[in-house]
Amino acid sequence: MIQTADKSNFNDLIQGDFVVADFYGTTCVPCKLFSRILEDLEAEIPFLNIVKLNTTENPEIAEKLGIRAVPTVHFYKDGALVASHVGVMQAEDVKSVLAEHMYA
Amino acid sequence: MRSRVLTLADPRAVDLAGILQPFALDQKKLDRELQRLLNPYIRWEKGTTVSSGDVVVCKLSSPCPRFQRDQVQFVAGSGMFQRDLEALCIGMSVGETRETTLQEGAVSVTLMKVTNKIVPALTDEMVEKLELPEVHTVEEYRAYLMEQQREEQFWNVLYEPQHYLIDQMIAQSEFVLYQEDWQHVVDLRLERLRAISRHEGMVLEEMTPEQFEGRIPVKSYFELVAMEQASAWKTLCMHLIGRCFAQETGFAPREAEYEKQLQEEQKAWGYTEEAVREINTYSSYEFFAYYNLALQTLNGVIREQFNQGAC
Repeated sequence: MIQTADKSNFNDLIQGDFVVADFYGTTCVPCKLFSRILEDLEAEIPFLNIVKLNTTENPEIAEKLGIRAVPTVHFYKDGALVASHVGVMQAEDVKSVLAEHMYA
Repeated sequence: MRSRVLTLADPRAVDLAGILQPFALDQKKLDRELQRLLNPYIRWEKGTTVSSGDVVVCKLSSPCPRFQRDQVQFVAGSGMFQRDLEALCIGMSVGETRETTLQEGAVSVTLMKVTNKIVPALTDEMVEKLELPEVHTVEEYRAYLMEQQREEQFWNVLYEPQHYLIDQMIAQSEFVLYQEDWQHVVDLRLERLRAISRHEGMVLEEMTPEQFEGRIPVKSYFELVAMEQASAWKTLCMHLIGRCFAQETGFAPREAEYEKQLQEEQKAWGYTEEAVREINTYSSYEFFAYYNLALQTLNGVIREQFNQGAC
């Protein structure tokens, strides 16, 4: 499931069992590419929680989390950050992170 | 301008084999794009046996802690949990137990639940919903994706053959070149850069290495002049080649096109109309319109050879 977050609900949305958070920018072209990869992952893994946050519209959260480039991907387990990546990730790379942390 | 072309080489006679990578369809990429269209139509239904792509819930028993689980959910064949275990699940029925030995130790897997992934066949109706102009059927969508791939690949491979073809065209053509015209090209370029730097609150001749950084790949004004001088002969030749192509096609720079270009530049860079006119003088536009015609024509020749690749 893909959910769109803003400053009012971001903290709530990352509290799930395992969450992939995608920090993207409005005009960022690589972000659009990664967005499509996430849509493919959602179609492949229907129980995966994906949260998207537009850093252009929510700069306060980006600053608070130290997001300096987009796309940045955070992986949260029970609300705690367990892995992160700056730049586009291929689907296989995302799955490797899932294999390492989701079932740890 | 007194410089001129005496004889113009035929760009189609330049052999680009070995430099130009012809188009080759990436079938996997095409399949992935077609598959992507199906994403919104995927259904999940409770099932009894596991196929690759299904969501399974299993009970695992093992001496290895990672595989001691009363209930674990993953997608069979996805690689998101453990590839060998996922492969083992494929073909299992609910209630069935299978055993395997992984690198980490022996594991017993009991399938508790399976949700089958139901992927419908691609239909013309799905394609129609994309509302792409002139794309209404699956076959038309396939052709559209292939064309997109061809276009993307062309621009990715263009750089090297383009530079080679320009060099060969200049080497195989005959020119009469005057130093005053070469100086004119250098001046056109420097005037433009001078105007840009002025509108950014700098003086081109006094710019520091820090001010050049990220703007122009030089460290001083003198280095910039040397760079422009070095490239001006080639630029002049391309302008003259463009003039020859213009005679063949009837092309001529037009005031309306110049105004359109100014508007685009004003919008893209946020300059005032006055600034954008100062940066892009009509004489500069006119000169580079022929240069660009030469470039576009040569790109067209490269595209012809590129398209001869297998599809």
